[in-house]
Amino acid sequence: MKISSPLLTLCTYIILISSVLAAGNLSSGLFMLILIAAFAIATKSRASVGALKSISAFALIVLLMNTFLYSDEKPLFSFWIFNATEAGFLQGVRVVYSIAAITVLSSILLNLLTPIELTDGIALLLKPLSIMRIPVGDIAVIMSLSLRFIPILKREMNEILEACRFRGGTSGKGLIAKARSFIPFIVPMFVSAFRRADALAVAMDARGYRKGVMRNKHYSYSKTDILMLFIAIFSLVLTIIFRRYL
Amino acid sequence: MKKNLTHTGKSAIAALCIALSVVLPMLFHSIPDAGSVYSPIHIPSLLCGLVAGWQYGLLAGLLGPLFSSMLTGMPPMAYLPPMMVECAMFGLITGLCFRFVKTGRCVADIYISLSAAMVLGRVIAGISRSLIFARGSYSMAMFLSSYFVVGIPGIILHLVLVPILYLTLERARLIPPRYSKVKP
Repeated sequence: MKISSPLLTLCTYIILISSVLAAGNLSSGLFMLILIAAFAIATKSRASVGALKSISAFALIVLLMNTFLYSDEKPLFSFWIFNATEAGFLQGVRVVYSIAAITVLSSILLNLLTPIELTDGIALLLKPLSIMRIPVGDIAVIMSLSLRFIPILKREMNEILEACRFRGGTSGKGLIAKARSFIPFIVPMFVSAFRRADALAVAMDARGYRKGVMRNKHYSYSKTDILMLFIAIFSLVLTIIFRRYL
Repeated sequence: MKKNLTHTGKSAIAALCIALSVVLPMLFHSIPDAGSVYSPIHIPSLLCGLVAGWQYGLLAGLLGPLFSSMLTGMPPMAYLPPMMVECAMFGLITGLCFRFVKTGRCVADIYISLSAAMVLGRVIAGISRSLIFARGSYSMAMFLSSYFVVGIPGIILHLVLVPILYLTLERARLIPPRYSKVKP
């Protein structure tokens, strides 16, 4: 699937999440699940299966906790001091459905957009906030700078870890000893990272960086973007209708 | 020696702290369960609030967990919104407290700001969970156990590490000194 506008993709994502949260009964929930599955297949996001697997244990705990702890009225069966209720089970299903749907939608979004595109999309989405004097341009610059810092810091972290290992650094036993053992790794990492940030700030100032200017790439809209947005809006309307009348 | 951080310097520090929110948990996840026990993602937002001020601390707290979740899958999407609120509150409250609390001793200022941020940030995150993110399925016992009982090692680590980091950066002259030493 060809995506060209991160702004429209983000809007589609937000509307789909709103539809997931608006779905209050079985029919609207099922409709949203089918729609999300169709989106996952159309965008070929295999990562969503992995994301679902990673939250399966958490989802099971949430379902069990809700079933046994949500309410005490009309228990289906009892175990020690816990009462399993129908209301609790339904609440658990509702929570698990929301978590699973949002997880799959998020992995689809990450499959469609690169981190830089996502950052640009967030910056464009926040642009109206500049009316309220929120420095959206600066936020966009900070976001893109941070994405560029990550690989550098990762490399530096590995170097510091190797250096500490060569000197025979070990993690201690007990809470405070373990906390202390992190200091030889973290302090040099922060100092060298702050040195880098200082150098970057001096370079930016020297090249005439001005505060509060938007520096975004221009993105065009494709037919797929607009179609996805329309499907999302249609699903939100349909979910609300399902919730009201079915 | 630096007199004051410029706007560009503060932006660079905020960007760096967001990047550290992604990289630091990777280091901790190399030790089993260390990521969830020591909450390393909190350290950059606390430090950003102290060094760059509340606006940048708030931003680093909001974006750090978001980027970490996007790029590494930690924290999982289900935990992300309350964690964003918690980290944002940490950055905001440390920044605000550090700006207004002036005892004359830098270490005392840091500890007062950190303690206030750690307590208030967790309380606000708990309130947001009970009212918005886990409405109807969140209790006082869950709040106390998840934020204060399980989080004790993390709290100890942050109280040990953040003042050391601040003072080291100050000594390395990478941030301006809080109180200038008056020579007799």
